[in-house]
Amino acid sequence: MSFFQHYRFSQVGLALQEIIDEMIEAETMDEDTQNMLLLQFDKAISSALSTWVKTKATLRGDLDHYRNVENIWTFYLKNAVIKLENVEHRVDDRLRIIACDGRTPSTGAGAKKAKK
Amino acid sequence: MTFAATAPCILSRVCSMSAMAGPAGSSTGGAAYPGGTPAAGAAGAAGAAGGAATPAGGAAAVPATTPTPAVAAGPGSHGIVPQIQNVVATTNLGVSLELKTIAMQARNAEYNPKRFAAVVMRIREPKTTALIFSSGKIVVTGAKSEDASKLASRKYARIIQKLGYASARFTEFKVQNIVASCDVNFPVRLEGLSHGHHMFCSYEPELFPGLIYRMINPKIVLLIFVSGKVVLTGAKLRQEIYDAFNNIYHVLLQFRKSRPNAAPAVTAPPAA
Repeated sequence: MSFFQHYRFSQVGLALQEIIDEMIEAETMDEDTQNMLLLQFDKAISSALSTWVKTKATLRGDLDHYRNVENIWTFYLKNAVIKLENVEHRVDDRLRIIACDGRTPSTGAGAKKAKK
Repeated sequence: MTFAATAPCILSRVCSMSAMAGPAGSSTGGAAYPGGTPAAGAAGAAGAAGGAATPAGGAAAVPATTPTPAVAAGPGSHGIVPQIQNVVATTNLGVSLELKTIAMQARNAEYNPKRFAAVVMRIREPKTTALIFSSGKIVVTGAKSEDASKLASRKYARIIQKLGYASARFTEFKVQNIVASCDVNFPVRLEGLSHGHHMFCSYEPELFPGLIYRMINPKIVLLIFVSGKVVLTGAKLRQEIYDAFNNIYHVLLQFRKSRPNAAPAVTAPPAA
């Protein structure tokens, strides 16, 4: 069972990676443990997002262009506005959305937003 | 609409003057039937056939009383021009393509080899969709005219060229299908039509509400609905659509469904 690894580049994932790097630096963790940990993270974040997160987010913008290669969708939006619990966030630059099918490899719906 | 009006004029007109002179010769005929523009184009043709100065009163009654369907009545006699809705065309770029890299570089591209062995690409102007195959062949759909289809095909070829296939050439452009639709503005007795023209018709209302009419000459398939809406498909040339509609219009008049509150202009009593 494999999971998408894109959540490693989210804030939580980057924080985890930072800690792991520190521990490897201090030689309190080895490479194998790191890999195991990251694979576990992929699985855990995926299920956590689908079961625990109840926050509704709305997204609005003008589609500039899109791409779909092997079922991984990429959308480039202009004038995007992300609304999270009535807090609006305007994206001045182009917003890139990477979306992949959450059902095939994992249980949770997988969608990742990355600003560019 | 205007561009369409000129083309049908070249049709040979062998119908009787009474059948065609009305709407063609008078502007009121154009007003009574949607698509006033063709009347202007047809007027020229009518004039060539021997001068047409029939009063407007006769014009109104013409479509209802056309006696026998003439072989090739001009489009002006009914003033309806089928509107082209879709044009499908193919092109060959003459180079084999690496689809995955194209899909990753190009915008508005979809590629999922597990489902379909072609890149699906879209452009906004002319609004079309292309299927790009690894053989270098391209199918462009969704254009509203032959010219738009050709322009779109050129644009897709250009996109491929820009993605590193400098040897790609725009060759073998061919329109494969033209779909058009229109409305005859009266309801049709499909049951009667399917009996009267059973050799061309397939009408299974439980399967599909429209009657499928396979015309032999020109070789066009028509979907005819009770409402009087008609869809024409299978044409390689625009003229085949127009010819097929002219043929079917006179057939449909014979199977017109009488409607109690029809538009007065259409059901006016025949001029004495």
